[in-house]
Amino acid sequence: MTEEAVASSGVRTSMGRLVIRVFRFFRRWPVIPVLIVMMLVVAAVFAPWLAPHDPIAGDLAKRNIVPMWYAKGSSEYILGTDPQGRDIISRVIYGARISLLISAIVLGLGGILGTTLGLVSGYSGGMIDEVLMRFVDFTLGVPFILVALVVAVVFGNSLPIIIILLIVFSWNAFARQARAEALRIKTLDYVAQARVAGASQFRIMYKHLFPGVMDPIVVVATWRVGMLILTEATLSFLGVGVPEPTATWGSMVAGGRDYIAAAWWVCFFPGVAILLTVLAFNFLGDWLRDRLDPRLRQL
Amino acid sequence: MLRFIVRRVAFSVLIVLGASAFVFGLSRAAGDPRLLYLTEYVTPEIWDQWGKAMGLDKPLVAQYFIWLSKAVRGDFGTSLRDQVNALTVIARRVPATAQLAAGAFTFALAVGIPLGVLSAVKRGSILDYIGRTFALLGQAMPAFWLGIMLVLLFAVQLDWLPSARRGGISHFILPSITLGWPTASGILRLVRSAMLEILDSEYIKFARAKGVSNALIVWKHALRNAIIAPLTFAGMMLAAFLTGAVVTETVFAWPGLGRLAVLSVFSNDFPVVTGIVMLFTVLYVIMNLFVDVAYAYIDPRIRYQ
Amino acid sequence: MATALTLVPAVFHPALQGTGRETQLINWGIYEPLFKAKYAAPPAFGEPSGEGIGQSWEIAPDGSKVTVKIRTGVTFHRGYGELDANDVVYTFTQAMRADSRNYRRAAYEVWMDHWEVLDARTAVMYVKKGVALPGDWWTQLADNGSGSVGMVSKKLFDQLGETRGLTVEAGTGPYTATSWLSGDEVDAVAVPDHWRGTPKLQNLVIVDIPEVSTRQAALESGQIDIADIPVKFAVPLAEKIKGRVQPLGVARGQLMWFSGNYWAKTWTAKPEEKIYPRPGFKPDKDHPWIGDPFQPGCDWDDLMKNPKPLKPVCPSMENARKVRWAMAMAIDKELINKQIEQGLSRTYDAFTAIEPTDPWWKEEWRVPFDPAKAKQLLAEAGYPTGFSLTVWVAVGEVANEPEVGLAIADMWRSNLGLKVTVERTAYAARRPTLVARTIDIPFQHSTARPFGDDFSIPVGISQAPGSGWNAGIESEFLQDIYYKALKEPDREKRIQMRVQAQDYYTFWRLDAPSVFHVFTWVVGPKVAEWVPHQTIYSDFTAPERVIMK
Repeated sequence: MTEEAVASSGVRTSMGRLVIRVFRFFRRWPVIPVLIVMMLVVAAVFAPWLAPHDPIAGDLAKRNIVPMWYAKGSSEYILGTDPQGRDIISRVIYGARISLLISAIVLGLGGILGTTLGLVSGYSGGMIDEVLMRFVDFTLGVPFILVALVVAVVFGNSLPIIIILLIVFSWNAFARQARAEALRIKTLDYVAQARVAGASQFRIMYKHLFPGVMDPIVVVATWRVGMLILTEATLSFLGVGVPEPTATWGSMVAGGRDYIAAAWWVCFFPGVAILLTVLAFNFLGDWLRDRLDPRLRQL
Repeated sequence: MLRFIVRRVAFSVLIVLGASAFVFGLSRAAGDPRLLYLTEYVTPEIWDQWGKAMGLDKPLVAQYFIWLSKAVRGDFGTSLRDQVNALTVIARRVPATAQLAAGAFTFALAVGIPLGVLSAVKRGSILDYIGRTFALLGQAMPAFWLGIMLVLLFAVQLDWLPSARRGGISHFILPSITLGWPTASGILRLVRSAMLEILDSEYIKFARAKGVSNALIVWKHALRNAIIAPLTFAGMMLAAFLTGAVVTETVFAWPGLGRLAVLSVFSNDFPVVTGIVMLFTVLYVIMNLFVDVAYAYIDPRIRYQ
Repeated sequence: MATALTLVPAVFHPALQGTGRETQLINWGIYEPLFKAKYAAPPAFGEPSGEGIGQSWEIAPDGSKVTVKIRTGVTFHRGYGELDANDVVYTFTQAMRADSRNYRRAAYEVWMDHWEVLDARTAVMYVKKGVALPGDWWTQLADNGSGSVGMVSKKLFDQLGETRGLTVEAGTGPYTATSWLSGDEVDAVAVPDHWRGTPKLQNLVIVDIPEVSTRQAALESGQIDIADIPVKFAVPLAEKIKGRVQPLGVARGQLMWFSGNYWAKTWTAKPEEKIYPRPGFKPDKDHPWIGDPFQPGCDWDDLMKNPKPLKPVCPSMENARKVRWAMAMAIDKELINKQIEQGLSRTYDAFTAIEPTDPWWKEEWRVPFDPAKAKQLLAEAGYPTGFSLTVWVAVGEVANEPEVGLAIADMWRSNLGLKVTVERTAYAARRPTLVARTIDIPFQHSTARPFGDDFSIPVGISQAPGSGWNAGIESEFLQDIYYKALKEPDREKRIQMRVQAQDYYTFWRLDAPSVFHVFTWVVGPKVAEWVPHQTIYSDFTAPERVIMK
């Protein structure tokens, strides 16, 4: 809806203008996604102070308590409890930690690894490029979910193993993106000039290529957060997620799914947390792409 | 062009070989394969006999090549659960997954393309917001959660559709939506951005100037070009599709490859697991090969990259 | 009619049927066992009925062999002719062959030697030398579920060979399969003029729906008529759909094994084979529940040869014993029964499945819920602030209720202050450590009381060497009593050995028992009658006794 459309419908009051302004502001800036991400970070960092209960201490006597707005609910358990009698809101708050921790480590390590390899690959070309890119193709070609299942069954499932698996299957997106950007940037005039001026390979990469690829890498990383959170949930569903009693959104949804008819709140609220977080990061990713680099629209 | 294809095929074979070494290594990391087939009551003679027959007395690398030479001939070993060739077990499950895939892709294309086009053409309109919300939602819900919610709503509350098993056309609807929604989102986004770009291009402007009708421009000229965009991501979509199939088939008790994969992993049926992994790797590689060659054919510059 | 459950079997060959849950062929009326029990409402199994393929039997006075009379008029599906003694002997010979994976083999291996054909109507089963025929031997050849062996046609395997033969369904039951997809679905139709009568239910569809929520939905929408629904959901669901709850399967005592107590020096069966020291045995600060009888000051013979030691127990063993008792006493069994088993179950105390209703029961076997005493014991053992441990609660084990395992972990946390991590892996992932005897963490398991009141084998699989897996508890006392009982023909003496074994279990507290887990099915409103027969696990049985409205 545009300003003209509102104007022609006769809303000329200051109230109308305010609504338009607010609407435009929200369209221009990703306010809600940023708020969600901020809440997430706050929840993760201050979980011990925010959570009303211990997230892992179960009490069977308090099994499946309904959320507080029901007649049988209690304000002690705002969103109710799970079949083990654990407070759901506390687990959702602590779950933000795991989600962010996994995302941060996987994107940190996978991002650095992928970007560096991609840059080297794109910049040096030739044999190195060939080998690295075929390796990327290989990691893309092997069906991740089956490999993850097998690894978890053979080596057991633990947080470190899950993180390693996610890194192994995440770095390639960064490598591809960084390589494509490096290929583009290295033909640009200023890089060529630097080369002529006798700058070292390392310097060129560090000074010219790296800043050039940062924008698309940030976009890719933002999108990846959602994918990582969903993957964690899928692994939990298949029974190979982060082990109990750690509170993760994925394991909460997966563990509560049998109770969907008997105690819907057990898997509903962590599901909402996943939905909102992934929506927020995907939306942010889109927004960043449009802002930073409209060329990337095809991603 | 021939050189390009040869090179591409060679790389594809390399990827498949890499994957095969990887799954072989994983299956051996699980322990002595005889433990899968034989019980603890077995006599040492039979144990050794099996070891010889399976080539376990040779070095690991030799074992790999023995396994590989059998695998290329379609022999991944005897399925532990079914006691017949693993490939036979896999082949029995292909139709169900293929049908589900057909349903899911029909849904994805039928929803993704028109919505993608409309949200590009009517950019900023309510249609655009509906389309984009649809796309964002599809990529933000865990597939199993979506499947269970659909069952709860359409099978239990409304009692419109069946909740499980393969059957008539009505059995396809819920699993197809569960599996197809994320793909539909991907297609929608790609079509939308490609459309925006194309509608902005010179030749469409030229067509408009020549007085070609708007509908014809959008649905014929622009769409024809925009539809190629999702093709580039066919490989990625296949990977996402497999993950989706594993989950969807479990939720809806669909007797396909995804269910088989989960069953086999949890019953240590490595011949079947390696067979499925190789099947999907080969599928991925072939698909990418076709896309690459098709692109090279359309755009000769790619051949020399 | 359609029914939902888990795991559709894959193989029609006795030597190659891998797991007990996969041998459902008999339960679904497609194959038939040698013997059938007279129908008795679950949970009882029933007496021998003479309605089986084996019409009657005769045990030799010295107990060395059993002669079985084979019924006439039993025909195989798909034109494979009439069943005779050759088929029976072929079936059991295959199940026992050297590379057999048959689930029942472990049990048969203990006492069954081999089979011979006397004539077309007579088969002879020989019992192993020096072993007594167990009191429940016939139930092991009957339709008690969990890997019951169904009779196959020798002619079929002679004609088609093993590889092709094992994919052809040719049983003798009242139903024959029209299509079959292992792990997913079986469609079957009634066999007209079956020797036991033509079933009333014509078409049977058995489909594996892995998700509980989908199973519930399919029942609610009337898509299926009978489904396996855990007790925690069964009662409200049955009310909602105007159906009923059918308990089925033997309630299984849910316990935590205190693995890692590998105390044996040698196998009793092979005294020449030294097994100590071994990798799984870690009596250290990280494993407070594992005692070390090899410490100086410990009288190994006194500890390992008596049901209760005669002398004071040395510190390492005593402290570990206190830790185990503390952990067992920290479990609120009544609460678990009320909250998870919906109050339909009972508490579980004795691993050997002797219950308070039995004449041999001793009140001292009861494990009280006493957190204060438990904390005190833990402090006495040197762990006043608790310790860290991992427990394994398997994923997807049908016999276990994982929520019980998780609740126990929670109670150890809150009542004792232990830092408990729960490992939730599939059985397949853990199996190597069970077979190799390297498991050193407590894990959830379950046991059931055998059918009948014959307690001939007191300690079962946890101690016998070469018996597949092991709970990580090995004592020469338990091994000894196990082998003695195998050879003991007198029932009363066998039961006394079982009592001694329970004394040993209770004193050393090798398991932390909780409650019996009950198994339930929900029957939809379209089913007028279904009279299942009982099996060890909660299997769908007797479709021939289903009548639809």
